[in-house]
Amino acid sequence: DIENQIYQIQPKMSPKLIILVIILSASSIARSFNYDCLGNEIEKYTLPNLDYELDALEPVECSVISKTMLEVHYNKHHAGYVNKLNILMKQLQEAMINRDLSKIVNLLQDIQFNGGSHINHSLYWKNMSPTKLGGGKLPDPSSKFYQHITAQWGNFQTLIQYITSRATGIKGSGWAWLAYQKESKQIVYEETLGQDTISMKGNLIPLLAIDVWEHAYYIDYKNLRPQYLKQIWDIIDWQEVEKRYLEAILQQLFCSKNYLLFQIRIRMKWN
Amino acid sequence: PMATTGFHELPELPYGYASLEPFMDEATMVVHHDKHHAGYTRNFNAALTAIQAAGGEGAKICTMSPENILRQLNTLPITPEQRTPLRNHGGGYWNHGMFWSVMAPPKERQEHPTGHLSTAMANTFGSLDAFKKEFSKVGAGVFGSGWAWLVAEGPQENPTLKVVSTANQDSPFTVGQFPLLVVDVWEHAYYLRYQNRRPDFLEAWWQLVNWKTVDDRYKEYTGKN
Repeated sequence: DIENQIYQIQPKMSPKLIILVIILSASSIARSFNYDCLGNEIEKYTLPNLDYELDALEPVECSVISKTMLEVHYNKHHAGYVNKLNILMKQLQEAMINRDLSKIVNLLQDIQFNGGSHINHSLYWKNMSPTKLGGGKLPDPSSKFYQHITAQWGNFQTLIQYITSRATGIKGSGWAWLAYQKESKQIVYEETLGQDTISMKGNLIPLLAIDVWEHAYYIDYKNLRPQYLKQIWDIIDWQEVEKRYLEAILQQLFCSKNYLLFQIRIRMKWN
Repeated sequence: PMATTGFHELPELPYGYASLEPFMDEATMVVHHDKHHAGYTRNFNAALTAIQAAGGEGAKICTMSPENILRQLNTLPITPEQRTPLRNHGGGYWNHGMFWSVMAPPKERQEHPTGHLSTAMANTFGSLDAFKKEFSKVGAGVFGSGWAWLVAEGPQENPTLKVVSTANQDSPFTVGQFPLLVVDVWEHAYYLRYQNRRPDFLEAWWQLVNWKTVDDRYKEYTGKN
């Protein structure tokens, strides 16, 4: 009887959709291997494209992140992490083929660092946007995300002030986060040190990433991290944060089999 | 002009801001000393003031030297909330002071260790070059913010030399080691000129190391001249 009910609410699949599902599954399986059976590399990690020009985060009125700062952070730091990651992953592949356990264990710490950095920085670029493309603009008050934030935090100003004051106090190098806690279904503030990822801290999905390593702001703000954190809200892309929140919820609503189908439907509606 | 007086004063740089050029730029020296080090000094004094105001056993800490505070950090009669700023700001205060003292203008410095230290280093590391390579490797390998150190440990008559690193503002004093040489690898120490190229910074930094300070500290530890 329950099976019947589930069968009723499952979306009906047209032949086109079936083919699309097969293609998507196949490509995602293929992407999980970086090399073919001869050990040749198929796909390396790459620096994600920025959705904006290097000088786009320094609007005329005030410079939030200057072109120089962005250039060094993106083309030197992040690119450096990506290059190192690719070298390490190749070494890991060789070590795995040779079953060299010592080597594997040795590599994992550096992979965690460089890989974590690649993940974190990719999230960071995506949740910022020039003001003319919507950076700094709060979500619509009628949206589910806006309502969740106000239900939990009172209002956005309170949330922003909280993140700013906590992030200022992070000792040394690390990241400040908003994250979706899967068990409690709450939006929480979190911190990670070094290049640790948010998922290393538990059942969390990253919503907003803010880099507080000195290299993220030093050229523009020197030691004045509080200034950087005050200004950065002008370029936070809340639409991206909202999108991550909605995807996090959807992921919970559906088990993985149906999630793939729902993803297809969402993508077709989204564009 | 710095309002950094109280229990401890921000030490003056032993040389001009521009005198470590071209290996360390003037702009970095200005911000590093007048902003970062000054900030740690102020916060360290504020932490001690708060501890004194709270009264009780903890107040006697305010007459201790920073080295002793760091040595006994984990056994001081204070709360964890009082301990954390001492660890961070007391550490930051002392570490930066030592950092200035192990450097000198390139042409005014002593370029090699001498005497007992020189012998001990040769015995431990093989050669000065081998030591520098190890030290640079450790410095480059610190994940995030921290320091790389040459420390002495163990009996005064025959100490062990080690290259170690600490995170953030942690001090070797806290784990029973005696610092001889130190380099700051927080990004603020090199960012303006070297950006992400920390290994390049470390290579240039060797041109600034004044081994006289290191010799003197070794003599202080061993009691031998």
